[in-house]
Amino acid sequence: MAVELKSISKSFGAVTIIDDLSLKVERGEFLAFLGPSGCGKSTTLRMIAGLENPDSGQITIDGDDITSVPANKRPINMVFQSYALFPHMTVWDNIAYGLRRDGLTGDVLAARVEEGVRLVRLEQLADRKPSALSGGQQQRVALARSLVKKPKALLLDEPLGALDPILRHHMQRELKALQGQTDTTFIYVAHHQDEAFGLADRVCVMAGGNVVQLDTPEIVYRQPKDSFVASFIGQINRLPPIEGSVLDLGEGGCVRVVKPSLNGKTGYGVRPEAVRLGKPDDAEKSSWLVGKVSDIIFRGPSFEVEVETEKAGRHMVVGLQCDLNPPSKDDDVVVHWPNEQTMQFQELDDDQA
Amino acid sequence: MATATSSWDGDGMSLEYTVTKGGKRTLGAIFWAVILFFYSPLIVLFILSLNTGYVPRLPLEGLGLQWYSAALNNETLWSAVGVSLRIATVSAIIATVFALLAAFAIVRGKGAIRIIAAIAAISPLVMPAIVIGVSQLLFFVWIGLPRSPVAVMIGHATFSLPYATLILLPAISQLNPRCDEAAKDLGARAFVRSYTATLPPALPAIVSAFLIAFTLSFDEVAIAGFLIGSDNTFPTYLLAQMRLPQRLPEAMAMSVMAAAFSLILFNVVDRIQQKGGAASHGR
Repeated sequence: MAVELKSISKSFGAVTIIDDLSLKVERGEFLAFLGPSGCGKSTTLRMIAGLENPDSGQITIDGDDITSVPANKRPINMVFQSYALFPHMTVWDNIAYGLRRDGLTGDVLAARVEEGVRLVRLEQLADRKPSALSGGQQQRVALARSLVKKPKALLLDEPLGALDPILRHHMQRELKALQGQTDTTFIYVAHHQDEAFGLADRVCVMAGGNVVQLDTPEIVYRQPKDSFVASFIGQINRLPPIEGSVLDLGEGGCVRVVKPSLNGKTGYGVRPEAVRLGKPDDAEKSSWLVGKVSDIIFRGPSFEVEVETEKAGRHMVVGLQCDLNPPSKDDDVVVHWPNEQTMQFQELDDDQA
Repeated sequence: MATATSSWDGDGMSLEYTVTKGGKRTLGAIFWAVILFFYSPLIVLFILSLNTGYVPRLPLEGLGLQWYSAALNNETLWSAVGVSLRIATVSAIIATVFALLAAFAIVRGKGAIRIIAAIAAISPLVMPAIVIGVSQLLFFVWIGLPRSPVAVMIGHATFSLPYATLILLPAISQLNPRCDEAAKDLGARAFVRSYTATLPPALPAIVSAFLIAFTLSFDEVAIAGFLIGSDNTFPTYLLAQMRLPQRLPEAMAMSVMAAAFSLILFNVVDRIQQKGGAASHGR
């Protein structure tokens, strides 16, 4: 166990940010926090770093209680969203900063810094000041500056948020590679779900100061725990309530649930990419709904066909591969999907998406 | 003065406006008229200081540097300059340190602290120097501090604190508070953080604040007049000399040298700041 949080609570004034949160991060794992702004993900990260103190609860690293250890004495380092490089120092001195604080000098220091410079491939730029670097290069300096300290866990607070999409994509790969090379535990606050999915071993979805679901990206996406996760992660077409395992709308369609039913109030949905246009080949194995095309949006790799299903009273989005010809607006269509793609999750009353 | 803007690493604002040719000429004329108005007394002073006679009037009796050599050989004058330099240095250090603390309190403080710091550090600005002088004299007499260069140091530190604070404020507010956190995260204690990570980016502004405080003190006469006692600062000495017509030319020569010194000093500082001022840490 690299990092463990036990019953952490934190308030700022009268506002509770973190409410009795517990979390275990495995050694060498890449864990990503995902959640709406204000859900407490950044605060959680800052508490692990020691930049904020929890009001109650315990934080341990490799079993040692570090709750009251100040940030400068924790074996944990952080990469900030704004990079927070020291503007008056060269790349080399930025990377050396943390090592110098550990008392390293001379050849030992130089060797460790060079190692860090090579790790992020900035050999050519070691003498430059941060202001002479691009965003991606600054990001790499920030990574190296933290990684040379060989922390037990590296915390990353939306580190790619300030980069343009192409660079962000590129840096994601570098990050993943760096984690492999250094075998460090990465705890990451993700800016976007694509980031979390592409990078993380496990995704921790947060809301209202607590963990809602902590699972692999695939499970979070395919088996969301509740209606919040279902609609926060990716796009979803919400389906009408289903009594038993079949919703028969006669001429309007038929939806079947093949998974065992959940306890409590259940919500249903299907991802746009699982839905196909046209009549199903096998009516028993598929769910289908009749509707009218209300809009077609070109998304590059795919079309988004929006369908109003009158009987089901739902607005459905159908992802259509670009090599297929899209229907026209106001066409009457049938949409279908395999029964096992019908998702079910706990329905939260205050969240009717 | 280019010094101030360049040291804050200006955000390259560019104002675009259209002016007709005639308008440009008018603006140019006004500009040079203002420059002439400001600098002509200094030019006149310079010309008259080269006069060989006692009486400062045109035409000159003759050209010569005799008053300069007389001034340079005047030991009383040099001891006054020495007193002024000591007072200026110490009071500027005190003012800069307190201005830094005040600027951080104003920028990073919360609630009442910000307001208290702002009032305490900036309000002496609206106080006439003569009022500061009188009130401090009364206060120092009351607490038993005699009139002395030390009293003037304290008086001048109070006097230049608001100027130093106003110069530091923009620079401190532009510091990235995350840099301080990053330094903490990388293992630096609070004191080490302040001089390795937090303050160096503000170094040009700190130097500017010190120099402004230094110059303000160096030529301040009202507070010094009340607090100096039996010693003399350079300005109080000059003022005293004005009563004796035969000492006037020497005083003028000294003034020209002081002005030249200030100009050179500011040019040097400007150069330093344009080169990026902040000390680059070697390996």
